[in-house]
Amino acid sequence: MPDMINESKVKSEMGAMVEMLSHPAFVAAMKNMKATPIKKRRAVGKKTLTVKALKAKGVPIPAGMRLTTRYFEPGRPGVVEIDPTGHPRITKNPRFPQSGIDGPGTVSWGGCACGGGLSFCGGAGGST
Amino acid sequence: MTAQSQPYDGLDFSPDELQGVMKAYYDDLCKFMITPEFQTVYNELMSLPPKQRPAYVMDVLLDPEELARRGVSVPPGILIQTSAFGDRRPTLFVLKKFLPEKFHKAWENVNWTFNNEFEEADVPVDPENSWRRPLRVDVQNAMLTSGDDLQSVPNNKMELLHSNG
Repeated sequence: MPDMINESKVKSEMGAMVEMLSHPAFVAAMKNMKATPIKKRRAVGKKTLTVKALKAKGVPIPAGMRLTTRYFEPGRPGVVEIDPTGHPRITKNPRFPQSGIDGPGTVSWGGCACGGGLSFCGGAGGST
Repeated sequence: MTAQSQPYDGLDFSPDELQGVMKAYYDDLCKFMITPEFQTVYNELMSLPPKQRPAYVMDVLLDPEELARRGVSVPPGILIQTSAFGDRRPTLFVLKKFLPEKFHKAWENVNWTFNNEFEEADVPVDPENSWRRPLRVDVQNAMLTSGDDLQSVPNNKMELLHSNG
């Protein structure tokens, strides 16, 4: 059964997220990431933006926290099928012909504390 | 002046300021997601089998006219988007709000994400897999719709991964 949206639980998790995301060590790590050339950012993230690395610097990390790259789709995603060889086969969506398959976008990173049945979680992003 | 009110090193805002704006923007997301109209849509989405949910997201949550028909009024500044994570959790959609630009030197947005249910052990937490290029959203959604395991895509299958980053 999926989690229902519970206001007090959501607010509690949001509060913990804010405490973590605003910690000076986390902000410093994000600032450092911004100063890193884009092509090197994932390599830097693997070392500096991890639960273990941030905990070691005193950041209060909520239980279940995950830190990961993320891509935000700027519009509606395209519609594809995966063929038997594992390759994407692009099909047009007649309802949304303007859907972009390779549209511009950014890769972000951030925290995501997932609780309960893991069906929803909070996060924050800083993008390239 | 307390440490909380002093600017971060090299930045022109303090922890108090950042916390204040993040809390306010998270509150905006929370107020929207607890509206009866949004909850009705969310509960309908989650009542569907997981394979059918990506199509519902596209047909309802990403369609302003369909949302309006259902009485869902999305407040200005709140975005409903799809996304993909490097750890490849089976994500469905996200509510996002950009912070004011002065805070972008640290954080650009706050968001609240809605996923298909998954087992903690099925989604990796190690840095190597967490910091992969995310899958393309269209590919992710096609795999969720067909019931395929997102973790099964090799990390070097470049045509299935997002090209940035």
